[in-house]
Amino acid sequence: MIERPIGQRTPVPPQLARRVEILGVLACVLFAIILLRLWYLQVLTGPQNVATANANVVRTIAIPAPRGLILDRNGKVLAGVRQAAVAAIACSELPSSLARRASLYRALGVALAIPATQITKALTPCDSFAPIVLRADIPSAALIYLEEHKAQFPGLIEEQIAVRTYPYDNLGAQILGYVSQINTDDLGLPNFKGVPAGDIVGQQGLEFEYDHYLRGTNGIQRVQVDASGQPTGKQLAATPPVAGDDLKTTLDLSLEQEGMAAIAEGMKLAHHNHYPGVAAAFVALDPDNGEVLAIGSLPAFNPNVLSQPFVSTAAYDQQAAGDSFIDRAISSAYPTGSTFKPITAVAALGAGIITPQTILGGTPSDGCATYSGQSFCNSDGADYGPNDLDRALQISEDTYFYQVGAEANARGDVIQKVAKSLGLGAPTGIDLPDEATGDVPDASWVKQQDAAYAAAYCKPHQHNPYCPAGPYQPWTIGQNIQLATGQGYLLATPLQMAVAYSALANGGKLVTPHIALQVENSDGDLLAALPGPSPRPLPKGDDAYLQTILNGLHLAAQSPGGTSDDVFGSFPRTVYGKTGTAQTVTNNANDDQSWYVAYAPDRTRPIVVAVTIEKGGFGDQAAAPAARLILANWFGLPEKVVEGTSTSR
Amino acid sequence: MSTSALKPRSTAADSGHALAARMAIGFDPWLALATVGLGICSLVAIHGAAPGYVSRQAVYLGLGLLVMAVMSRFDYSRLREFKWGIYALLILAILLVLALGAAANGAERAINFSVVSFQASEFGKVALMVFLAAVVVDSSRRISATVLTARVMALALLPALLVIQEPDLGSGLVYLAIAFAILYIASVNWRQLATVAAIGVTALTLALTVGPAIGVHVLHHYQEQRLTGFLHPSQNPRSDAFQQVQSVIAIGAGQKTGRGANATQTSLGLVGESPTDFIFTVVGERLGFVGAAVVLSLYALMIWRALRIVAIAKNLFGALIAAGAVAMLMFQVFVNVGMTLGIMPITGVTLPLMSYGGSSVLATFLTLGLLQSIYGQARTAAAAKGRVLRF
Repeated sequence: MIERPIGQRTPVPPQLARRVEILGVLACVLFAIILLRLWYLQVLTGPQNVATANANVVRTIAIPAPRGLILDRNGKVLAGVRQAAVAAIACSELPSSLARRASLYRALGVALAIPATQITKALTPCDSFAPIVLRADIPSAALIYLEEHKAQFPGLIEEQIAVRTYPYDNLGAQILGYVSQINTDDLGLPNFKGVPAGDIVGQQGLEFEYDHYLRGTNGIQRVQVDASGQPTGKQLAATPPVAGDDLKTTLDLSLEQEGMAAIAEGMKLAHHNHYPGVAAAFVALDPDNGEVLAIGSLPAFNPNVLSQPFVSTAAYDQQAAGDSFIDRAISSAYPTGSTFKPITAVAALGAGIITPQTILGGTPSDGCATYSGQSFCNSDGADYGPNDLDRALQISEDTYFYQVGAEANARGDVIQKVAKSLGLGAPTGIDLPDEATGDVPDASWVKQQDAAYAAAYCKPHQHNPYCPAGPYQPWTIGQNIQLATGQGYLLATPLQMAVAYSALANGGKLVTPHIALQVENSDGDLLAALPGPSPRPLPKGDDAYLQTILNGLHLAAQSPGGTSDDVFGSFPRTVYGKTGTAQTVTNNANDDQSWYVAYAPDRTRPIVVAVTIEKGGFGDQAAAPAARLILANWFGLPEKVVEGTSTSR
Repeated sequence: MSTSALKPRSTAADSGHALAARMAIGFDPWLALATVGLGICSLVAIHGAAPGYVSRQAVYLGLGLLVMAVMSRFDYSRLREFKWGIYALLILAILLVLALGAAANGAERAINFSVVSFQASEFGKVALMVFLAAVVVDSSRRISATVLTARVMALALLPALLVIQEPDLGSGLVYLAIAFAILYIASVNWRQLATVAAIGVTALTLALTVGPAIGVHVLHHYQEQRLTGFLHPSQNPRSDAFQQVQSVIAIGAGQKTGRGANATQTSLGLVGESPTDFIFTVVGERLGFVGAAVVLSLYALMIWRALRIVAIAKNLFGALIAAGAVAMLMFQVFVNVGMTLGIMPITGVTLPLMSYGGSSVLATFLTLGLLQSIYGQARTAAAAKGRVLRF
């Protein structure tokens, strides 16, 4: 159609031509502006715009990583993972009317047996792209009902998710811990570095301490949504989760089970003897290396209940009854009573206050001795006469140790120094959170306590009977005498006592107790060994002295007249053990803390056991039988409940 | 002008040549190429944004081609006789839309027949360019230039204000642009043009700033917001300003070669009205700089050809109609594309041929048919005078 210009061109009026040209130039300028703008948007800032566009329509949902297992020393599962059927709500499917939502929540509450108020709370606001889990382990009847009435429950989905499971329920609950969504307050903790809000993390015990190994790496699911936030159903690339690593521990499942049963038995014995017996704890250590063979505390919660995706307030309160979250083996410091006497003996022998042959503790009358006008008596006012150290330990003669305490006071903090060197008054360093420090009182300690009290409670012009002297008052000889028998202000955890006795058992090394052994992958391949700190040798003492003390403990446990001979006399292995019956601040005999700490030597499997029963009465009557059960299990002997009758402290 | 000896008008060859000339040169092939190309681009873009609209748009385009073909064979000069009839029809149609809108208790831009709706303001553009061109041609020798300018602007302002009330701000502005362009090509002197432009700018400023301040709303509130919205983007997804922001992101995300089927902004509703006012956004996101450049090139071709037709029209009437057409095309292309790029306010003008919608497509084809007719007449006249038009 294009013809060659073979003729004259049509003349265009010059003014018109000019105006058309101007219009043409204008068009060129406008096209240039648009092309420059296009170049700027699409080429220069294109990548940023792509990112913005993607952020507009892609929502990411974390795919929870299956948690690593917690294993005992033989590879038996203490905390595992199972697939659970859960009922969850997809927020985008909920009815928009608030009234219809409320009635839906009521119906869901009935069907799933959860209070509707809690459903409302969990789903307000409901703006998550990941389904919000309401309940795991739906009963089959409820499942059938929900299936049949699907149309009545818009947004309800049933799915399988990986849930933490503890096959032995409350076994070592405080030590293993439990898992749940991270608290906002905990987001900054070093243990949870990099954990996003809403993630499931370990909340106590090993689950908390070793969370970074167990947690794994969440996967990422990407969901495309449209402008109104509705998923389009388009599949986007997902990153699969990486399962957490397994944690192998030093615990022995069988001993752990027996330990829990034994302290329950100890509480039962306390009840039998008309003591409240409200709580109990035990620790079993390898005295040579500090490995925790078993450890437990009662009452305990069931971590399976608390690790559910959705825990009702009622269920939580029920589990928390009796301060069950407190791990009394490491987080509760108690007066130790006579279990402290061997520590006093080490101090006195070392300082030269006594020799093994020194005869002390004679009482003028009624089994009582008087210091600074204050009377200190044996339990039940028994008069054992003057005795040497072995005998004093065998029968737990208070007056012997009162005299040692009185003489030690003249030389300063002799006992305190040794107690501290054996690990009292400071955390043992076990790899568990919330360890208690305990108290080893001396002159400066009471001064500090009073100063702290004054700072906290004594304001100027304020009337308070304890101001300005302070409730602890200046240090007296009486306080040192009480300390010598594990009374007064002395407080120690069962774990601290087990560590102190381990030093007696291993010939003078302070061990750092530890539970984690190694980190493994799911095939059992070693990823990281977690050896505890090496035992620290204590200042070398006279071996003969140590032998004297051990001999006294052996006589106490397994010789006629020994304080726990009625429990351990019939035990077929050598046991070094000491009872303790500690008066508490209430000074009410019903509240006496029942203690037993024992060492059973073995060439390959030595063991130190500490047992304490809160408000459990005499050490021999509640704690010692429990300790015997634990030792019997460890050495594969018949587990027999042998009740003690000694009323010696 | 004298007849040339180069092409002697031999009687035998004459009729055959004239026939051939009529067959061959009745159509501007470049304009036709741009038209068809944009039609194809429209179908491709709508297929990406809203596949459900493709078949209807194809029907509109097919119908439009037919309208254009018929129009190109029609002697546009005869329309001069019917100018008042055309104007009356234009005003009546707009009033009818307004009345129906009032009856429906809401905004109306179209007369709804059960199957199709008829958007009078779109066809009004064509009617107005023909009418104003006729007014200028018929009165230019008898009245002063000032009176003519005032008359043309007044005659354009009436339908413009009416369609703005419909509310169709975009078409109203197009009307004014058409009137201005016709005066411009009619060789009205620069001072008068500058006066008209100054009055226009002042009026718009008053309507947007002073008016609302004293409680007089010449424009609907949302029209005010749209016109000023691009200056301060909003985060409200339902607001027009948000759409404009999303449109800019969408086009940018297209990068050099486009996101194709992975486009999200225009297919997942972030940019609403993507098949209609934001069709260029679809091109930008799905086909990238390359696709956008192709579309813009076709418009450049179209505008170039239209300008050429202004220059070669055989009479002033044709040149003025073509000037109106150029104004309409340029205004709509730059305002619409500028809006999608975030450098122009949202006025609701469609992108000629690309935007989905029967009225817009058919009105554009009607305009293109007029252009072809003017071109064809110019060629015939030139051939009759023994001249050959060069492209």
